[in-house]
Amino acid sequence: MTAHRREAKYLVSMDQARAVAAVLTRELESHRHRGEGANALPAAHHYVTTIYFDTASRTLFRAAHDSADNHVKLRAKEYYDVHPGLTETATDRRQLVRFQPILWLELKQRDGVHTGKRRIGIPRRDVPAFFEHGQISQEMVNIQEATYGRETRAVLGAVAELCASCDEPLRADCLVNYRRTAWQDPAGALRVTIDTGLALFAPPVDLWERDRALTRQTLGAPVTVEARRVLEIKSHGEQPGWLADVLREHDIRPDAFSKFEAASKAVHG
Amino acid sequence: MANQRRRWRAGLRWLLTLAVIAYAVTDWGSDEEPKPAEPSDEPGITSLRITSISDADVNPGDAVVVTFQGADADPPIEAKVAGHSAPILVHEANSVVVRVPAATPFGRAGLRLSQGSRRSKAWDLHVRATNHRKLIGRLLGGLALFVYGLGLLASGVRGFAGLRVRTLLGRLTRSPTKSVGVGVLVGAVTQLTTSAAALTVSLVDARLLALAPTIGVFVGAQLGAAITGALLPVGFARESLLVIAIGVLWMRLATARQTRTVAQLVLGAGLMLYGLHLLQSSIEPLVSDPKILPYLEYLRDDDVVSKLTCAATGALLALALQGPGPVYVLVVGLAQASGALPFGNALAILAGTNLGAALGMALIAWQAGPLTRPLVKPHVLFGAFATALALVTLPIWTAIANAVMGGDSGMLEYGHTVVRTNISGRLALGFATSELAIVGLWLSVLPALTSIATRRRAVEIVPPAMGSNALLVSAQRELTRILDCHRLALDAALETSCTGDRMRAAESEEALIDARRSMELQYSAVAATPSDPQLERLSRTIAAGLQLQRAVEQLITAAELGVERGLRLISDEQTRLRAMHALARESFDAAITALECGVAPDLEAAGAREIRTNVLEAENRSVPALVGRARGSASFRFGIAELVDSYEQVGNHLFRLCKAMGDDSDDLV
Repeated sequence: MTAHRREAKYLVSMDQARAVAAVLTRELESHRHRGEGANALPAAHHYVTTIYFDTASRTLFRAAHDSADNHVKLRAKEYYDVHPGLTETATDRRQLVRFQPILWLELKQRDGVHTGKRRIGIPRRDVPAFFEHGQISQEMVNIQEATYGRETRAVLGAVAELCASCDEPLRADCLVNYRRTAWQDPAGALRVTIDTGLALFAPPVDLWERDRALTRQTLGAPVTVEARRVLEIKSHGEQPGWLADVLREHDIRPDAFSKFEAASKAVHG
Repeated sequence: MANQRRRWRAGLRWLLTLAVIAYAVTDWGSDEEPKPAEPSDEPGITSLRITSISDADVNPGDAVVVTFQGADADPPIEAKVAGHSAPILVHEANSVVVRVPAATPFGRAGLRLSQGSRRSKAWDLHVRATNHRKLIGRLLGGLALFVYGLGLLASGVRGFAGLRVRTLLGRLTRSPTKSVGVGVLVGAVTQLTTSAAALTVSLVDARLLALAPTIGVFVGAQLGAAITGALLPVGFARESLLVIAIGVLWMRLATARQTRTVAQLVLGAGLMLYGLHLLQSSIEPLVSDPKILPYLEYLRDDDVVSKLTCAATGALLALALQGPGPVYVLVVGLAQASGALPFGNALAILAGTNLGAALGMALIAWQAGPLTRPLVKPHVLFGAFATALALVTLPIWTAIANAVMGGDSGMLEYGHTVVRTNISGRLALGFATSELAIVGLWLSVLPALTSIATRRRAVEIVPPAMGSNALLVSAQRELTRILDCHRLALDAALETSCTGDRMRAAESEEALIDARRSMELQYSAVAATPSDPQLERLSRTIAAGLQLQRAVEQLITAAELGVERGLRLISDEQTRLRAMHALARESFDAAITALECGVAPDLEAAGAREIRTNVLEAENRSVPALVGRARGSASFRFGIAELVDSYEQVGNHLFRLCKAMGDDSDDLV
């Protein structure tokens, strides 16, 4: 689901989220990443920490703010799972967390209602060198090969080039942490996510040196906490009727909410 | 140095104990010897001569044993006190038992025997008015000492081997006959049927004893209390002050928890026996008071109405005095002091104690709650059956007692102020054999009764019916109370572990039983109400509360086992345990506050406390065994591990409770 697709976003209340989730659970399968090295422990709570990049003068923020339909976002996502069920045996909070220290760098381009996304995996420790010098390590190449095959180096080069094309160096601008629940149809034509517990943070000083997951508890005090939930529907083609019905029934309307803009605003004003 | 001092104290304790025991068993002059009295200087000395009297200080109505010399076979001996004719209750070859006439004036009074024209020289008696105030004081004091001693004894027994004994009892009551046997033991130890009932009911509530064998245990307890109540206390009561002395000695020189527990046990037994002694010695003058004697007329006749009156009196007394034992003491006192109660009627009073004791035990079972209420009917039925059968078969037991002990109630046992005949032995025998026979008969119908009682149990626990909102409010309030009870039990476990004092653990057990019952009722009520999300959460919370309850019960058990193993926590161990305790208490506080405020507890904080508890548990495991201990054993190691593990379990369930109480708004699937 990283090719061009329709993407709709909604801000919903807890009750609305629960109502939609009930229908989604009935109509679709709950989705969980099951690729190589994926966490297979049951009863996982899936979390995402997204690092948004921008220049010191906030070039990307202004571009996104000025044009909702045509802009570029550069962000890095770290996925991690929390297992509250392990609390009874844990002697450290980190034992509840399962993660791989790989940031998924996403170059997201929006053109009208269509969104395109390129995504590459970078070991967290390699991120500063990649942004500063476009340096690509063998480990980075190995990570991408499963997705891009022979084109790996070309994709990496293109992303590095884009990053370097900015007038000012890109650096971590703000962070967003949330719990994600996802549903997806077997064909991959429809993917729905509900993000709950959105917390917006300023980047911690030791962001790249950490050897543990970027969990909410380690990011310091959030600048803002968003009480509403973010419902995202990504589809190739029209939304199915049952989904449209539930949205209508609960009076859920599209919203131009952007996590990046909300976080950048919260952190920088 | 400390060990040496401990050894010295232990040595001194045993030395002094042996000295007291040696004194007790050595006869250095019995106070049962008749006391010589100064003869008066009246003229008219004849060959009939009083050689001694049992006591010169008497009340009107008292009986005095008078020994004499120089009497012929005929005519019969007559007695006068201060010129008033005194009835002779018993006549032996060289002694008579004389009742001091009710009309005898207070002050000095001469007691004189005469035979035909011959008269003995007068012996001075000091006749005093019965001091009712003093006697009632003794009566109340005796009762108080008895009750206090009983409590101390129970505490001592519990501290000494409480948990093991109770677990053993649970195993031993698997068959009806065995359960009656265990009941006899419980009754014999507690002596009072109400205490036996309370102990048995607590076993049922603690799930150590099933309901079915409890019916047998109740019957056995009544038998045990009746027989030992009739046979033992009177014998031991005379040495009770020495038993108290040994108890105090051990208490003062105790060096270890277990020694203090033994001291409690001995002191409790001593106080209980001394209380019984005071009761008996205060009842004797009261019932021999001439003003009271006329009322005994109602119990003297040899007809059916009189026998029924006796049985009803026995039932009331057994209900009031909490068992047949004290009634036996009272009846013997009454029969001996007044000489006004025929043997058959005394036995009829004791027959009535079956019903009275059964009613008392049934009351205990009733008030303990729905779990033990099925015991009420079969046991009251037993009481009524036993009383009726004992009354109907009264001639048999009278005949057996007379045949074995001799039917002559005039045989003398010299007492201090009263006449002692062999009625006490005959009563004990008659009462004990009748009780044994009745219980034996009852055993044949016990299985059927057990089946009926246990079948009914299932329908008697009915949850209260109420709407979902009312149920939510009520259940939240009740859960708050229950969690507070768990919190107190937690404190008790710490205190027991650190100090060895098991009393608070024992108290908390009772509260935990009540908490479990309440949670089960709440759970049933929620299950019977149409479901909604809030009720489902409540149901999960109660289920988590029940699991937490089990963990807290396990902690109490571990703490008690530690004491029984003689586990004394050293400073480091106490520090670790207190840290775990503080975390668990914090979790209880958070859960209770959340319930009171109607909000979800902070799961992050609950998780953090749980992880910290795990760390402490892991640290404890990593400490090399018995570090810092001068002496120790594998048993100590297990004891500490069990305690820490139990705390960790409590922590786990507290975390689960918080999760169950919480409304995780991020949980959408």
